[in-house]
Amino acid sequence: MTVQTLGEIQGRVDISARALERTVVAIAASHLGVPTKDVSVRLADDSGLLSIAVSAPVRLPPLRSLSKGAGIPARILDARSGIRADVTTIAGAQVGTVGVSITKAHVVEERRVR
Amino acid sequence: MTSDTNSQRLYRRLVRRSLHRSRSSAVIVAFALGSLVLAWVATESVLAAVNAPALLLSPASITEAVNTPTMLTIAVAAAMAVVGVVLVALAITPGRRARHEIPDARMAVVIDDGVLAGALSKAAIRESRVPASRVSTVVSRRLSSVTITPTSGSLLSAPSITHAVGAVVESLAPRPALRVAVAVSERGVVGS
Repeated sequence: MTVQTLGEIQGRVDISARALERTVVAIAASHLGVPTKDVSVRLADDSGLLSIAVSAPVRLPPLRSLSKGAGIPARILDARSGIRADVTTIAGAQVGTVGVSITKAHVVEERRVR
Repeated sequence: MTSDTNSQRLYRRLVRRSLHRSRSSAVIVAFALGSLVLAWVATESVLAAVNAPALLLSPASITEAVNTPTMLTIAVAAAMAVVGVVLVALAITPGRRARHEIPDARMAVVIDDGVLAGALSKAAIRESRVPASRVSTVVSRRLSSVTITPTSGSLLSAPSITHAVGAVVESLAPRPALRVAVAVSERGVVGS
Protein backbone atom coordinates (compact mmCIF):
# COMPACT_ATOMS: atom_id res chain seq x y z
CA MET A 1 0.00 0.00 0.00
CA THR A 2 1.55 3.27 -1.04
CA VAL A 3 -0.76 5.43 1.01
CA GLN A 4 -1.40 4.09 4.49
CA THR A 5 -5.12 4.13 5.27
CA LEU A 6 -6.25 5.72 8.51
CA GLY A 7 -6.49 3.35 11.44
CA GLU A 8 -4.06 0.81 9.99
CA ILE A 9 -0.95 0.40 12.10
CA GLN A 10 2.28 0.84 10.19
CA GLY A 11 5.02 -1.74 10.47
CA ARG A 12 5.59 -5.35 9.70
CA VAL A 13 5.26 -8.74 11.31
CA ASP A 14 7.96 -11.31 10.69
CA ILE A 15 7.62 -14.85 11.96
CA SER A 16 10.93 -16.68 11.99
CA ALA A 17 11.14 -20.21 10.60
CA ARG A 18 12.02 -21.49 14.07
CA ALA A 19 8.98 -19.88 15.69
CA LEU A 20 6.75 -21.22 12.93
CA GLU A 21 8.20 -24.69 13.43
CA ARG A 22 7.60 -24.64 17.22
CA THR A 23 4.04 -23.46 16.64
CA VAL A 24 3.36 -26.29 14.22
CA VAL A 25 4.92 -28.77 16.69
CA ALA A 26 2.54 -27.58 19.41
CA ILE A 27 -0.47 -27.77 17.09
CA ALA A 28 0.46 -31.26 15.85
CA ALA A 29 1.08 -32.50 19.42
CA SER A 30 -2.31 -31.29 20.60
CA HIS A 31 -4.05 -32.94 17.65
CA LEU A 32 -2.26 -36.26 18.09
CA GLY A 33 -2.58 -36.17 21.87
CA VAL A 34 1.13 -36.69 22.54
CA PRO A 35 3.73 -34.55 24.36
CA THR A 36 5.45 -31.86 22.27
CA LYS A 37 8.93 -33.29 22.97
CA ASP A 38 8.05 -36.43 20.99
CA VAL A 39 6.92 -34.48 17.92
CA SER A 40 9.25 -33.27 15.21
CA VAL A 41 8.21 -31.16 12.25
CA ARG A 42 9.88 -30.31 8.97
CA LEU A 43 8.61 -27.27 7.09
CA ALA A 44 9.22 -26.77 3.40
CA ASP A 45 7.90 -24.77 0.50
CA ASP A 46 5.29 -26.32 -1.77
CA SER A 47 5.20 -23.88 -4.71
CA GLY A 48 4.28 -20.93 -2.53
CA LEU A 49 2.34 -22.89 0.08
CA LEU A 50 3.68 -24.20 3.38
CA SER A 51 4.19 -27.95 3.34
CA ILE A 52 4.37 -29.71 6.68
CA ALA A 53 5.93 -33.08 7.47
CA VAL A 54 5.19 -34.29 10.99
CA SER A 55 6.78 -37.31 12.56
CA ALA A 56 5.27 -38.24 15.89
CA PRO A 57 4.06 -41.17 17.96
CA VAL A 58 0.38 -41.95 18.09
CA ARG A 59 -1.66 -42.43 21.24
CA LEU A 60 -3.58 -45.67 21.52
CA PRO A 61 -6.43 -46.38 23.90
CA PRO A 62 -5.99 -49.51 26.00
CA LEU A 63 -6.40 -52.45 23.67
CA ARG A 64 -8.85 -54.24 25.96
CA SER A 65 -10.91 -51.17 26.79
CA LEU A 66 -14.54 -51.13 25.85
CA SER A 67 -14.37 -47.78 24.01
CA LYS A 68 -11.79 -48.32 21.28
CA GLY A 69 -12.54 -45.08 19.44
CA ALA A 70 -11.75 -44.53 15.80
CA GLY A 71 -9.00 -46.48 14.06
CA ILE A 72 -5.51 -45.05 13.56
CA PRO A 73 -5.92 -44.12 9.86
CA ALA A 74 -9.13 -42.20 10.53
CA ARG A 75 -7.60 -40.38 13.49
CA ILE A 76 -4.49 -39.43 11.51
CA LEU A 77 -6.74 -38.10 8.75
CA ASP A 78 -8.61 -36.01 11.32
CA ALA A 79 -5.34 -34.80 12.82
CA ARG A 80 -4.04 -33.78 9.38
CA SER A 81 -7.06 -31.67 8.55
CA GLY A 82 -7.04 -30.24 12.09
CA ILE A 83 -3.34 -29.32 11.78
CA ARG A 84 -3.97 -27.71 8.42
CA ALA A 85 -6.88 -25.61 9.72
CA ASP A 86 -5.09 -24.58 12.93
CA VAL A 87 -1.84 -23.60 11.20
CA THR A 88 -3.84 -21.37 8.88
CA THR A 89 -5.78 -19.70 11.71
CA ILE A 90 -2.95 -19.49 14.27
CA ALA A 91 0.14 -18.90 12.13
CA GLY A 92 -1.67 -17.34 9.19
CA ALA A 93 0.00 -19.49 6.56
CA GLN A 94 -1.74 -21.23 3.69
CA VAL A 95 -0.90 -24.92 4.01
CA GLY A 96 -0.16 -27.17 1.07
CA THR A 97 0.56 -30.80 1.85
CA VAL A 98 0.47 -32.21 5.37
CA GLY A 99 2.35 -35.47 5.85
CA VAL A 100 2.20 -37.39 9.09
CA SER A 101 4.50 -40.31 9.72
CA ILE A 102 3.91 -42.35 12.85
CA THR A 103 7.13 -43.40 14.53
CA LYS A 104 5.70 -45.35 17.48
CA ALA A 105 2.55 -45.91 19.51
CA HIS A 106 1.89 -44.84 23.07
CA VAL A 107 -0.51 -47.33 24.61
CA VAL A 108 -2.34 -45.73 27.48
CA GLU A 109 -2.44 -48.15 30.40
CA GLU A 110 -5.65 -48.49 32.25
CA ARG A 111 -5.27 -47.84 35.95
CA ARG A 112 -7.47 -49.03 38.68
CA VAL A 113 -9.24 -46.17 40.37
CA ARG A 114 -8.08 -46.05 43.96
CA MET B 1 10.55 35.75 -19.91
CA THR B 2 13.78 35.48 -21.83
CA SER B 3 15.67 34.43 -18.68
CA ASP B 4 13.08 31.68 -18.10
CA THR B 5 13.55 30.13 -21.53
CA ASN B 6 17.29 30.54 -21.12
CA SER B 7 17.28 28.56 -17.86
CA GLN B 8 15.07 25.92 -19.45
CA ARG B 9 17.53 25.58 -22.28
CA LEU B 10 20.34 25.34 -19.73
CA TYR B 11 18.48 22.63 -17.80
CA ARG B 12 17.85 20.63 -20.96
CA ARG B 13 21.55 20.80 -21.75
CA LEU B 14 22.56 19.84 -18.20
CA VAL B 15 20.17 16.89 -18.18
CA ARG B 16 21.43 15.73 -21.55
CA ARG B 17 25.01 15.96 -20.34
CA SER B 18 24.14 13.94 -17.23
CA LEU B 19 22.31 11.24 -19.15
CA HIS B 20 25.12 10.65 -21.63
CA ARG B 21 28.74 9.80 -21.12
CA SER B 22 31.29 12.33 -22.28
CA ARG B 23 33.65 11.09 -25.01
CA SER B 24 36.49 13.39 -23.92
CA SER B 25 38.46 10.69 -22.05
CA ALA B 26 38.40 8.33 -25.04
CA VAL B 27 39.38 11.22 -27.31
CA ILE B 28 42.27 12.23 -25.02
CA VAL B 29 43.66 8.68 -24.93
CA ALA B 30 43.29 8.20 -28.70
CA PHE B 31 44.98 11.51 -29.55
CA ALA B 32 47.80 10.99 -27.04
CA LEU B 33 48.59 7.56 -28.54
CA GLY B 34 48.29 8.90 -32.09
CA SER B 35 50.66 11.83 -31.45
CA LEU B 36 53.21 9.52 -29.78
CA VAL B 37 53.21 7.23 -32.82
CA LEU B 38 53.48 10.18 -35.21
CA ALA B 39 56.38 11.69 -33.22
CA TRP B 40 58.19 8.35 -33.32
CA VAL B 41 57.67 7.96 -37.10
CA ALA B 42 58.93 11.52 -37.67
CA THR B 43 62.03 10.88 -35.53
CA GLU B 44 62.81 7.65 -37.39
CA SER B 45 62.40 9.39 -40.76
CA VAL B 46 64.80 12.18 -39.79
CA LEU B 47 67.33 9.64 -38.45
CA ALA B 48 67.07 7.64 -41.70
CA ALA B 49 67.52 10.81 -43.77
CA VAL B 50 70.82 11.69 -42.02
CA ASN B 51 71.93 8.02 -42.12
CA ALA B 52 71.98 7.74 -38.32
CA PRO B 53 71.18 4.38 -36.65
CA ALA B 54 67.42 3.87 -36.02
CA LEU B 55 65.90 4.09 -32.52
CA LEU B 56 63.73 0.98 -32.90
CA LEU B 57 63.03 0.34 -36.57
CA SER B 58 64.05 2.24 -39.70
CA PRO B 59 61.29 3.17 -42.19
CA ALA B 60 62.85 0.78 -44.73
CA SER B 61 62.60 -2.19 -42.37
CA ILE B 62 58.97 -1.24 -41.51
CA THR B 63 57.95 -1.33 -45.20
CA GLU B 64 59.84 -4.59 -45.62
CA ALA B 65 58.00 -6.12 -42.65
CA VAL B 66 54.63 -5.04 -44.10
CA ASN B 67 55.50 -6.47 -47.55
CA THR B 68 56.66 -9.84 -46.17
CA PRO B 69 54.18 -10.49 -43.34
CA THR B 70 55.26 -12.70 -40.43
CA MET B 71 53.19 -13.86 -37.43
CA LEU B 72 54.37 -10.82 -35.47
CA THR B 73 53.25 -8.26 -38.06
CA ILE B 74 49.88 -10.01 -38.41
CA ALA B 75 49.43 -9.94 -34.64
CA VAL B 76 50.31 -6.24 -34.47
CA ALA B 77 47.90 -5.48 -37.32
CA ALA B 78 45.11 -7.45 -35.60
CA ALA B 79 45.67 -5.57 -32.33
CA MET B 80 45.47 -2.25 -34.16
CA ALA B 81 42.25 -3.36 -35.88
CA VAL B 82 40.70 -4.20 -32.49
CA VAL B 83 41.66 -0.78 -31.12
CA GLY B 84 40.10 0.81 -34.20
CA VAL B 85 36.84 -1.10 -33.81
CA VAL B 86 36.63 -0.09 -30.12
CA LEU B 87 37.18 3.57 -30.99
CA VAL B 88 34.53 3.47 -33.74
CA ALA B 89 32.08 1.84 -31.31
CA LEU B 90 32.79 4.52 -28.67
CA ALA B 91 32.18 7.20 -31.29
CA ILE B 92 28.92 5.79 -32.67
CA THR B 93 27.10 4.39 -29.59
CA PRO B 94 24.98 6.88 -27.65
CA GLY B 95 27.03 6.38 -24.46
CA ARG B 96 23.97 6.41 -22.23
CA ARG B 97 24.40 6.35 -18.50
CA ALA B 98 22.11 4.27 -16.25
CA ARG B 99 20.02 7.29 -15.27
CA HIS B 100 16.56 8.69 -15.82
CA GLU B 101 15.30 12.21 -15.96
CA ILE B 102 12.50 13.23 -13.58
CA PRO B 103 10.50 16.05 -15.15
CA ASP B 104 10.15 19.02 -12.83
CA ALA B 105 8.85 22.50 -13.50
CA ARG B 106 11.57 24.31 -11.54
CA MET B 107 14.59 22.04 -11.41
CA ALA B 108 16.65 19.75 -13.56
CA VAL B 109 16.36 16.36 -11.84
CA VAL B 110 18.34 13.26 -12.83
CA ILE B 111 18.11 10.03 -10.84
CA ASP B 112 20.42 7.03 -10.88
CA ASP B 113 18.74 3.80 -11.93
CA GLY B 114 19.91 2.15 -8.70
CA VAL B 115 18.08 4.77 -6.63
CA LEU B 116 14.99 4.37 -8.78
CA ALA B 117 15.18 0.59 -8.29
CA GLY B 118 15.38 1.12 -4.51
CA ALA B 119 12.22 3.24 -4.56
CA LEU B 120 10.35 0.61 -6.58
CA SER B 121 11.61 -2.17 -4.28
CA LYS B 122 10.30 -0.25 -1.29
CA ALA B 123 6.85 0.01 -2.82
CA ALA B 124 6.86 -3.73 -3.57
CA ILE B 125 8.02 -4.52 -0.01
CA ARG B 126 5.27 -2.41 1.50
CA GLU B 127 2.62 -4.03 -0.64
CA SER B 128 3.79 -7.64 -0.36
CA ARG B 129 5.01 -7.49 3.28
CA VAL B 130 8.00 -9.71 2.62
CA PRO B 131 11.43 -8.89 4.12
CA ALA B 132 13.44 -6.40 2.09
CA SER B 133 16.11 -9.00 1.34
CA ARG B 134 13.67 -10.99 -0.78
CA VAL B 135 12.78 -8.25 -3.22
CA SER B 136 15.14 -7.27 -5.99
CA THR B 137 14.55 -4.70 -8.68
CA VAL B 138 16.48 -4.07 -11.87
CA VAL B 139 15.87 -0.85 -13.75
CA SER B 140 16.96 -0.68 -17.35
CA ARG B 141 16.19 2.05 -19.86
CA ARG B 142 12.56 1.24 -20.53
CA LEU B 143 11.78 -1.65 -18.18
CA SER B 144 11.81 -2.10 -14.44
CA SER B 145 11.56 -5.73 -13.35
CA VAL B 146 10.77 -6.58 -9.73
CA THR B 147 11.40 -10.13 -8.48
CA ILE B 148 9.85 -11.24 -5.19
CA THR B 149 10.45 -14.47 -3.30
CA PRO B 150 7.32 -15.01 -1.18
CA THR B 151 7.10 -16.43 2.33
CA SER B 152 5.68 -19.94 2.13
CA GLY B 153 1.97 -19.87 2.84
CA SER B 154 1.44 -16.20 2.08
CA LEU B 155 -0.15 -16.02 -1.31
CA LEU B 156 1.02 -12.85 -3.06
CA SER B 157 -0.95 -11.34 -5.88
CA ALA B 158 1.35 -10.09 -8.61
CA PRO B 159 -1.29 -7.67 -10.03
CA SER B 160 -1.64 -5.73 -6.75
CA ILE B 161 2.14 -5.45 -6.42
CA THR B 162 2.37 -4.35 -10.04
CA HIS B 163 -0.26 -1.75 -9.24
CA ALA B 164 1.67 -0.44 -6.21
CA VAL B 165 4.97 -0.27 -8.11
CA GLY B 166 3.18 1.27 -11.09
CA ALA B 167 1.79 4.02 -8.84
CA VAL B 168 5.33 4.99 -7.79
CA VAL B 169 6.53 4.97 -11.41
CA GLU B 170 3.54 7.09 -12.37
CA SER B 171 4.15 9.61 -9.60
CA LEU B 172 7.82 10.00 -10.56
CA ALA B 173 7.15 9.86 -14.33
CA PRO B 174 10.79 9.11 -15.25
CA ARG B 175 11.91 9.74 -18.81
CA PRO B 176 12.29 7.54 -20.82
CA ALA B 177 9.08 5.96 -19.55
CA LEU B 178 9.39 2.73 -17.54
CA ARG B 179 7.29 -0.38 -17.93
CA VAL B 180 6.76 -2.43 -14.75
CA ALA B 181 7.13 -6.21 -14.71
CA VAL B 182 6.59 -8.02 -11.39
CA ALA B 183 7.58 -11.66 -11.03
CA VAL B 184 6.65 -13.67 -7.94
CA SER B 185 9.00 -16.63 -7.63
CA GLU B 186 7.47 -20.06 -7.97
CA ARG B 187 9.24 -21.26 -4.82
CA GLY B 188 8.85 -19.47 -1.50
CA VAL B 189 10.99 -19.46 1.62
CA VAL B 190 9.83 -20.82 5.00
CA GLY B 191 9.61 -18.13 7.69
CA SER B 192 10.32 -14.46 7.25
